[in-house]
Amino acid sequence: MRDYPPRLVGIILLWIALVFWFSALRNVLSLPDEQAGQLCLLAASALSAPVMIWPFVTQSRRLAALVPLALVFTGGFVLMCSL
Amino acid sequence: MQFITPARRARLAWFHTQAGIFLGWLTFIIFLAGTLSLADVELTRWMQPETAVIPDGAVLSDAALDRAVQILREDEKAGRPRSFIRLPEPRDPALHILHFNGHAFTGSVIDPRDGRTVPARDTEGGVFFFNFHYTLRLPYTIGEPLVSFITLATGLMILSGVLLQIGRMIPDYFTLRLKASRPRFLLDLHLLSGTVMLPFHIIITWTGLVLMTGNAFPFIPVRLPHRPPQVSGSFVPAASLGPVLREFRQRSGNAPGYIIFSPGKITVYGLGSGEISAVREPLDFDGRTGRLLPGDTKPAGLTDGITRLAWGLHLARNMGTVLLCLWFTGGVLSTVMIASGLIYYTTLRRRRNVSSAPGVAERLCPGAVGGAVVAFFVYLLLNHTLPADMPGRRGFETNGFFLAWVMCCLAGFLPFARVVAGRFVWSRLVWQAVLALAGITGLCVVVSDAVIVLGGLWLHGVRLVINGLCFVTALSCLAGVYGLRRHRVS
Repeated sequence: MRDYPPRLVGIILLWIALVFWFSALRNVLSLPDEQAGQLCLLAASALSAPVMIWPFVTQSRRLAALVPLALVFTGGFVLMCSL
Repeated sequence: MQFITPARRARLAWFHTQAGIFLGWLTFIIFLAGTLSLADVELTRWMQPETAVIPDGAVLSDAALDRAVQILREDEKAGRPRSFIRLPEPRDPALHILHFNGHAFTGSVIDPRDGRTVPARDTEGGVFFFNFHYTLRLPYTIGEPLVSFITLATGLMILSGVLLQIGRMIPDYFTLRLKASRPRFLLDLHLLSGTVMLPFHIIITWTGLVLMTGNAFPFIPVRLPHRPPQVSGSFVPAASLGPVLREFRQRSGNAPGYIIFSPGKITVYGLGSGEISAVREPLDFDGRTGRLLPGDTKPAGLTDGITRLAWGLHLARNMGTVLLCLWFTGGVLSTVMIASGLIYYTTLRRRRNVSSAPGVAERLCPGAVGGAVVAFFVYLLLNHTLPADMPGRRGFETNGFFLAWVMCCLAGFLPFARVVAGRFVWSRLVWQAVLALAGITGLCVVVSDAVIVLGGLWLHGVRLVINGLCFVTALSCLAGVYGLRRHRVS
């Protein structure tokens, strides 16, 4: 049972990471604003399930929380740089 | 090397069941309402039998359009909300002047042949389910993010379910043991309905996410096509709409579907024929002269096209009858998949832990799942039995829907069910009561509509189909009561 809470936290962190990374990607894409926004929305919605299920697929529960946490921090950093 | 190891399977199974038991109830409601909203136009026609005086294929006259503009003018003078016009289409020959009442689009019905107002009863009709589908009848600021969150979770539940069954999908196609124990039968039903329509489940969840993606991924801005800036002034056009629509037909090659008004501008949206894509380029006309305004001639890009296709696949507005029926079947099977999963989980829990008192999930299950059918029938029955000119009848219908559902949900928590029936047959008794209620209410709906048809001779294909579906559902519920009596509990 104690195996699961970090994995659930990992799912939530991955969602935040998706938001950060795609927001940053939208800013750096050399497409018109509307098209870039749409592209990011389509990609984020298509990738959300395969990406967010990962914490329950991986063996290590530590990795299940730490990798998403790292993705959140890097995504936040890239987003700040892209603004 | 095997990808789905026993440990991985256990983790995915835990996630699948826990997410299902916590969010499955709302997912069930969303899928049920979405399935019903596929037939929202037909349900509204059924719930407004007075509109049956308009024959299919009635030709839209300029007189009807002038009358519509006159009503818009009166509405504006009276300070009523801004309306738009929905033009006759193959699924509904009436001309509608609709405004948003906070939950649904309602308004006057006009005969397109001569512009006479049809005294249709005041109801939200099938649009009630459309709104309920994506807001759960909550305020938009709460409802839409909640539904987005559930859509995200549904994607995860589908993927975890697929990973769990990835090697057994072909056998699942052919397995439904009707005479096995109840949990075995429910699991077979869950897997069968899940695998048979798996592409549909994936398409409808992903396209739903695309539609709600502004809430699901809040930092990524959404572009909603053709959202006009807010301009003050009169929105009622001075130009006659007849020539505007004729020019629209000539320019776009499509039949006009909607006319939306903004100060100084008339925007006409076309109905696609044989295309799935939901949104097509509208044409703007000058509100005073009726002349075509220069528009954006830039061709739609690839992402634009994919987004429109996703919207079209989810909204199913332009689909032909065959695809619409397939979508409806898919929706029914999705609902069955979720319901059977919920019932299976609660039944399985009972088998594993027979000595414990029924949990909240088990008590809620008959009312939440079976009660939804009761509530739907109560909604239709109230529509036909309340006086047509009763003030506030729309509110009575929708409140009746929720009241019936809540009452059914509470049935599982009644203390007498536990005392009288005992541990093993408790759930079965509540299920039988709810299904019997659904069956009887469904039959009452069919009878009430038969009375209306006999009284006014408003017989129509749409009525026959909806009555037939209600009749079959009611009989299935009554058969369920009998089947549960004979079914082995464990």
